[in-house]
Amino acid sequence: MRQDRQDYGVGLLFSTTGTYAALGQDGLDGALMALDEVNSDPSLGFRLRARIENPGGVIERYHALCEDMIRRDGCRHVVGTITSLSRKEIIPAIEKHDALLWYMCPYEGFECSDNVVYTGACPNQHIVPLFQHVLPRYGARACLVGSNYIWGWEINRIARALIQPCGGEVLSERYLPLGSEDVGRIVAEIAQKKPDFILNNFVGTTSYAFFRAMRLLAEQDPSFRPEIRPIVSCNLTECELGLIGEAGIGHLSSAIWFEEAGGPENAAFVARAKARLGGGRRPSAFFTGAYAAVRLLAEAIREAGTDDVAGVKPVLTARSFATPAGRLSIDPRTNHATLTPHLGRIAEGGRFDIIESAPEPMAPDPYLVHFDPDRLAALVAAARQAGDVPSSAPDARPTA
Amino acid sequence: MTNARVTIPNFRNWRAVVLHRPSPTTDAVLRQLERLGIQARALWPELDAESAEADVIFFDADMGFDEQFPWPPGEAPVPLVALVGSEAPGRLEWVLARGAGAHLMKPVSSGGVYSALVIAGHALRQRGALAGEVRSLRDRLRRRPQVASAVLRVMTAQRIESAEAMQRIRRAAMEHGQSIEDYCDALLAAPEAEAARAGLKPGKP
Repeated sequence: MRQDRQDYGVGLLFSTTGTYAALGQDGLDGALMALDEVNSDPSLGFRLRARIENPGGVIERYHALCEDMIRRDGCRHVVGTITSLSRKEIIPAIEKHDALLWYMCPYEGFECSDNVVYTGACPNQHIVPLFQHVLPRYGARACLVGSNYIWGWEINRIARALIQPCGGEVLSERYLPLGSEDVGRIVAEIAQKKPDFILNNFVGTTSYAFFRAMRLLAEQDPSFRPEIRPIVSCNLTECELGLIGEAGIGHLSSAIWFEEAGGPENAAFVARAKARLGGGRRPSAFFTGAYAAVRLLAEAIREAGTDDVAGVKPVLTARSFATPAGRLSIDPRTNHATLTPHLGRIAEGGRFDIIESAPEPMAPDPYLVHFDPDRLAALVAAARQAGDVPSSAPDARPTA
Repeated sequence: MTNARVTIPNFRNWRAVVLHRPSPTTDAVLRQLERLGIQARALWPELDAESAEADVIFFDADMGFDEQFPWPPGEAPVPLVALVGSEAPGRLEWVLARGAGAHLMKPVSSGGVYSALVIAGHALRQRGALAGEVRSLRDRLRRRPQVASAVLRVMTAQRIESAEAMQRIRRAAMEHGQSIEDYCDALLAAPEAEAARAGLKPGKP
């Protein structure tokens, strides 16, 4: 092995403490697993040097830490940020220094920076397929909840735009500050409104408290059991199931990767990840996403012969790459990834049963340019005609 | 979050013209428009015949001039977005006179086009709606003398107070599915005797 391998700095910016620490920890762990694999690969002529920072979920810390990574440590690539709030906070620094941010979370779309690679799902890859499954089966009367920042606001706005053409109804739309566990009034309102389903855009501890309170509600009123009125999410993964516990079982989430998705290569990856994580921890889409981002970065540096953004970007968009979630390609027009969305139902033991998968990888559509609301409306209308959708009178439905 | 619901349009299949010299800004705007599903072309210095079909025009605020546009200042039939480099007051004056609904600062990079489109489109719709409302109010103002005459006639014929007369006219106009002004015109046009007898049943003018 050559001792004088070139050394490239990579910033890993994840909040591993604070209200959404579970997601940040999974992201960091995935990135580090990829980093170790890259650095122990003698065929590569370089090493990746991690500069790890933990903003602790405090939004004011992100910008300065990101600037530092780029200016002091010469990182041209930063992998990380979980919330859209923190991503938007560091993009100006990333753009100013012409660095590249690798963002691997599901997000609300309507953004397209030339200095960001978006490897997580955008709305046509999460909420649209989620609603295509949920609305025809459970009905189109919804309560929308979310953490009080752009992710919740925008996903709920999109939800409204999907629900209305279907003749559905948004019965309530409520927000709580990040970190709040004060879900009582919102759950009381849901108990009274009896929606067909609840769209959950809470993040971190708020989400866990909400699931637990909804579980108590379902114990009092069986018509709130998940098979009748599910809580559906676009960002819930394995890494939070332990924190939610029993209360999550039966509810639904969309993700671009679940443990059972994919073939033998994925299974081998899962085994490696579990061995590395230890303690019964399972990898999640956040872990896998960060892992894939770092592996992709290393491949691109190898091919480009430099970590210069101008050299790396053309490689990324020129071909597809193998990842645990399948072949991944980056659309050169939008810098977003082509991905295969899955829908999972939370099962016992901290895992998801996959109940539906897109038949093929879906091109990203961050501005929902190609989404046709009439198609969803037709699906719902057909289900209604077939009698599959519950009557709009909430009390007319059977209780479990 | 308070949220006055304004529908954000989908721009798919819109056509855009970027009236700007070839430049990194022109490229950035074209690239962003393409991401939004918009067919965009760059032209300079003149719009062509096809530009009349455009749904939005981005124009250079620095080097632009009146003769580039086939319509009078302030009467653009499509949303206009100014691409502003120099913030010289004279140039901004010109941008405002052209009726720009939004602007982008040069150099344009990854952001801004989407919000400029949404805001300029909304501004044009709002301006159209307001202009329509002003037109209708002006028309009603112009016809106020006829309404006053009709009220007088009903007061005399029915021996009632003006408020009562106005109320009957309003009710009758509603029953006839007419505006108060149209109803009053018809009432005044009817033969005196008939109008007096019927009071509130004018013949069709």
